[in-house]
Amino acid sequence: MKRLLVLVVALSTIGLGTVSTAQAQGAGRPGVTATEIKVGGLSSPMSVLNVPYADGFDGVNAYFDTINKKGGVYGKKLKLVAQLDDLGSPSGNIRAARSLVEEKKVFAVMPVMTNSFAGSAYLASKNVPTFGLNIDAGWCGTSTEHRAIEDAIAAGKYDEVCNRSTLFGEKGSFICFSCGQIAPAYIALQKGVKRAALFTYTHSSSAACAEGTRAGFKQYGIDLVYEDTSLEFGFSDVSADVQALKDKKVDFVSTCMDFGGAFKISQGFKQAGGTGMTFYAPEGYRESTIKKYGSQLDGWFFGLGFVPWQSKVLPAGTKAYLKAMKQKGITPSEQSQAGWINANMFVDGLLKSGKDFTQASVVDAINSFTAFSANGMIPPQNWSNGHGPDTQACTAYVEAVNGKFVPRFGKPGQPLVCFPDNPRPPTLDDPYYLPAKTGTTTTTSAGS
Amino acid sequence: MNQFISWLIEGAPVGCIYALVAVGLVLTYKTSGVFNLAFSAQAFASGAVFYETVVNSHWPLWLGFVFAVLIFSPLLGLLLDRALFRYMRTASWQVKLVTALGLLLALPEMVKLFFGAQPAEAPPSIAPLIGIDQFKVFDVGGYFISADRLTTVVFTVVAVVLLGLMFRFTSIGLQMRAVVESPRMVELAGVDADRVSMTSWILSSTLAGLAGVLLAPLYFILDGNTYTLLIIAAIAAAAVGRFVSIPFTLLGGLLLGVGERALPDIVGTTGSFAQDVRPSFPFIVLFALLVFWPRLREQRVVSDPLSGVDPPPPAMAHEYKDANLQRMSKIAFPIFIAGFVLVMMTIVSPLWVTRLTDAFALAVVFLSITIFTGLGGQISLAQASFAAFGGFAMANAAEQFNVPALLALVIGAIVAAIVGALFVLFIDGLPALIGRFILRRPVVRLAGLYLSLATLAFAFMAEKVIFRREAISQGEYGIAVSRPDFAQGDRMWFLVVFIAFALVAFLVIFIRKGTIGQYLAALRGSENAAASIGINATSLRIILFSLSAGIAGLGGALIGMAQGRVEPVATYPALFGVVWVVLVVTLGSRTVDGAVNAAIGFVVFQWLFEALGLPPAIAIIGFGFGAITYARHPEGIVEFQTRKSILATARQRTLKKRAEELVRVEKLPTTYRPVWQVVAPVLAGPALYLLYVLVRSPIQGRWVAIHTVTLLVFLVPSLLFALVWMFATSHRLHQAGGVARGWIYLFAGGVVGALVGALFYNQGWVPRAELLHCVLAGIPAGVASVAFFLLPVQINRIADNRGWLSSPISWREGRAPFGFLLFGAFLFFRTSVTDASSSTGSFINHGFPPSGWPVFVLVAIFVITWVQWVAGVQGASNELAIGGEGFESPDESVSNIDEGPSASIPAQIDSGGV
Repeated sequence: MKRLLVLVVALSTIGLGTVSTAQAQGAGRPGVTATEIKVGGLSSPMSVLNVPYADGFDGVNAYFDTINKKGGVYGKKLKLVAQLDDLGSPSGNIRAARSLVEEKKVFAVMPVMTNSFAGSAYLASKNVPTFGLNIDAGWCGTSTEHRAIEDAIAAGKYDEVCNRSTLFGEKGSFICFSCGQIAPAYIALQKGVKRAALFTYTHSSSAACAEGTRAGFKQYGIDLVYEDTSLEFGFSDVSADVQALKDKKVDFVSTCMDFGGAFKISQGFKQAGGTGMTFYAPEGYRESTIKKYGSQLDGWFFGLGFVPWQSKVLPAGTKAYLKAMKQKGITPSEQSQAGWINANMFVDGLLKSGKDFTQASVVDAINSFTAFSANGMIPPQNWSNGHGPDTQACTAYVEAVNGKFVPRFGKPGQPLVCFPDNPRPPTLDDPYYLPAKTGTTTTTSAGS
Repeated sequence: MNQFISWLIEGAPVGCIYALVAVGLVLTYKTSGVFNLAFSAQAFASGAVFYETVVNSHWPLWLGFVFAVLIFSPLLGLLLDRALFRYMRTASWQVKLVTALGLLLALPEMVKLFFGAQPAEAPPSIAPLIGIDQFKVFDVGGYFISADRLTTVVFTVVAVVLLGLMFRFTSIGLQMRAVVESPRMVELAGVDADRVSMTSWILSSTLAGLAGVLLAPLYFILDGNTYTLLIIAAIAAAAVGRFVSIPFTLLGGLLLGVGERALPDIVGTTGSFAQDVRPSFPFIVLFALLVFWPRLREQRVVSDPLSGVDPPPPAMAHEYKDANLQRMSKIAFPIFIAGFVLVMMTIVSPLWVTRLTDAFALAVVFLSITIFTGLGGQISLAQASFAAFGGFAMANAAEQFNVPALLALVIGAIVAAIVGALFVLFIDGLPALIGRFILRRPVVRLAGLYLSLATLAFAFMAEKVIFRREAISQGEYGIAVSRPDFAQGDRMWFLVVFIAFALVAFLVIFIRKGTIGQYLAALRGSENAAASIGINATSLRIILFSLSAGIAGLGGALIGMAQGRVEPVATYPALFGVVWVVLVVTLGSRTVDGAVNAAIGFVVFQWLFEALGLPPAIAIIGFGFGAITYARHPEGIVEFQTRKSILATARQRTLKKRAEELVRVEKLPTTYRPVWQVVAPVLAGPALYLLYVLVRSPIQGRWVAIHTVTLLVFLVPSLLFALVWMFATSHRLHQAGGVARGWIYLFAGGVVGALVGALFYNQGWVPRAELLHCVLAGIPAGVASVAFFLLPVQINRIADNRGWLSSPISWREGRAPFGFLLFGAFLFFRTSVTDASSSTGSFINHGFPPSGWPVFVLVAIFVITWVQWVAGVQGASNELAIGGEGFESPDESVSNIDEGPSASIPAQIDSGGV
């Protein structure tokens, strides 16, 4: 008991000291000094879903470097002072979020690259500008609130809004997991395939993706002839699935898995003598992947929410991102690009809110953007709509051909294939293309 | 028939891998008594070494294979046997299991630390080693089989044939077979059991290594988590062979592989039934075998026949307190608790309130382990699952049925308790019915190791089958839950959790001291003997399970409510059940202190390592390897240290009385020096410096750094005093018969320390430091490093020379301060090599010296450890001066302590003592 006593007293002392050493901060300007603006981020370990979440830090750092080289923002350097690991657990996520705000005293939180964003409620309650990879309902509200918006969309109501106006995902705050997915259906239609199969993990996020894919196939007339929704992450045997693909003459496979899982199915199919199959994977668009597997990926399609790096005409934002990555010797990835976009949005918000910026003014500034596109990298985002459902669904498609990613289905300089969303069109016959031909759609220029 | 052949051909490769690991499991279990759950971790380590050598270091495939499977894996097995398990031959099954669980946690994290946490994609196949193109596909009578799979079968067959030949034609094989059949008989025949055990460890580790290399291309990614689950399948395969028969174990592995392949054709690939059964197939098989196959549970748990005559564990630490100390504790404890709560409710920062609140919620779950393991003597690996039952019940009650939050917490506990009761009814009741109506004979209850395995299988089944159900978890993002309205703030929520913890803690103490605790103690000793005095084991087991599950459920509900939402898998991963058990039993499964320390350690160490820029994996490695201490201190480290501390205090008090007596008769040797006279000057400098940091930092608005003036004023005088004391003590001990020329060793230590300091400077490992600083810091560090071990060794030698059977101190006392010195040096090294902007993280301010609370805490702990060592050495030295052999040995009852100094003043005092 004596040791327990010592331990608890020591910890209490720490807490006490934390209070006493707290530095006086200007109202709404924590982490801002005469020379610096401090931000901090958190990520999940890669082992959680085999996704390199921590790459997001590289993107933020790279963008900050480009701004700092130009003198920073209002003479202040941008600094990523903390890169915390949430250990892949909700409690770790909450603790890390609180640590950033209460211990590290950051002005903004970025990037949040975590599979679960349990700390979202806390960050929203503190009105801290928060940016990250939107793959969790927490970016919009509680799970109940998020589900209510999805239900409203299903009922034909599209004007619901999210309750967390200080959180900014790289692809918006709201993602409808149960709505029909356009990308797999569009690839199937473009390739003229008739018989589709769907593979998902039993993991709930994978199951939600499956629900959307299924709904998309149904809405746009793709015949889903085979499903395996009972696979576990790390599965080792695809014999039964491969046999079924052959028996049912499947010519298109859509997956809701990490790249490794999808690749196992593809390899199993090829090893069993299968040919002519088109594969779609929502994840795996990485230079390292195509370099490693080369022509083994032929016939694979990836759907992206941004302009592919292989486009012949690159927007200014993508060019700057790729250049910065090259200079740092870092292989580009979706996650680091998301970090870059987050940082871009933050800086644009700072610039728009003026020299006497506060957390609230930065949030207000970003929430007034009607067409933020990170200098053309992503489809324009309207942040003035209360973070609710988007009105357009844009995807860029790339196909792996002879060890290279090749953009597909778009137009020269306009790789993003878009459709109206909420409500969605009855057919996918009439897309429009982005980025727009004339000018950029961003509201402010980064680092200007 | 065609379909069956297809299942056989396509399922055999994975089955072969299960079989390989399972055979290794059986071999070591039967020859050393260790049920090595860490085999999957060994397989992962071997796979990682193979990947690293072949892919990253570009070794030839054959060389990588030889190194990973035939050199690294056997050496790992040898190391585990020589360094660890050979000392546990006579240990209880709990000790062996907990140690294996610790390795299961620590080994994969160590591998990640060495080779990177990122799972490696597309590990290489060893098909080319037997002349097959990696991408070739074979058509076997119309069935396709890939090169990887064919290779797996070929290597397994070769391994099994070689194993068979070894068993059949070598003497060690014969001995191993004999040990598997009857270890007692073999030992009676004079066979070297250690040698047999070592061989089986080498052999089984090699099999695990082979499995790891073969499995990697089948999994496609080399990921520790995926490998961890491999062990469950291997256990299920071994269960088919009743953990004894190697041929049946092989068959079990194959059947499991074939069964997995057949499942999608039988249960389909969609729908909730398929989603339930396919991922949890090995767990279901294992659970079903353990529950429904009476012969399996009737298998005798392998243990040393003489383990029953081991001395009982030491009494609880508080029982060593003398009346005075007990009186003081009774007064101080309530004051301390009141003060703690007051401080938490007023001035502690909200973030630290939250951290400690999380720790106390976790401590509630840990108390369920105190009940189950500490009192019940069994090990449950399903406590995380019972916590999950509580969490989901609470969330559903609160959000679906609008039950008030506090009531929802209670409902969570009740539901978990019911599940616990149903669980024990299922594992006991069903087999009993089978025994009564089918077998017509009684069936043994599931207990010991087999019960632990059943809880492990149940935990993973629950995670994959129950908690993923929409009706329970409401989908991917779980259920949002709110705290009670009056406890929305951090401090009030702390109060709620603390009160809940206090109530459960009192319940645990009440049970331990009450009738149920006595009954459980009786049951722990002998179920038959307990039954003979009228104890109803069945009802007691139901009480034990439901109570433990209910407490875990309450803790789970508190954790869920603290997080604001309860998610499937993420909130209560099944593997946490293993981590928690390891932590609690390592620190102390019999006391509330142990549970609290484990919970606070779990939360605080993660913070500490993260804040120091170290990988969080280090905490898991520390917890995992900490389990090894369980073998030495089954009562737990906290209990051991508390007892040691109480006894040391009592001894010093007695010594003091004796010294006073000797002063009266003017016979006190000049070598006697009260401990405080040494400790005070040593402690004064660092304590004043820490105080200075605490006061000065807020004034300056940043953490103050070390500079010349503070060094001169605070630290140098204390340090100089300590150095003089070390040399003087060494000299005195030498004169009394200790190690000769100890000062030379100390001096040499100083020289080496100076050289190491220069090396640090030369390598730039201490940023912004001058050469002189590094050398001046290195000298005392070097002297102290030697002294940490030298002085206790000298005391030890004097005690030996005097013919004492036990020494007042041993070299082991030097490990903790020396470890801290090394850790401090490592931190300096890391500060310079860690770029502040890199993704590995860094110190809070990236300045020199590394600043902030983490460093403050570390320095404070080091100072405490350092002072403890000084006090220990001086106390032991005094004992040599005026004590004697058998002087209040730590294991003796304190009842002797109050006998007074006149009991026996040793003869050596008259001859001058030390």
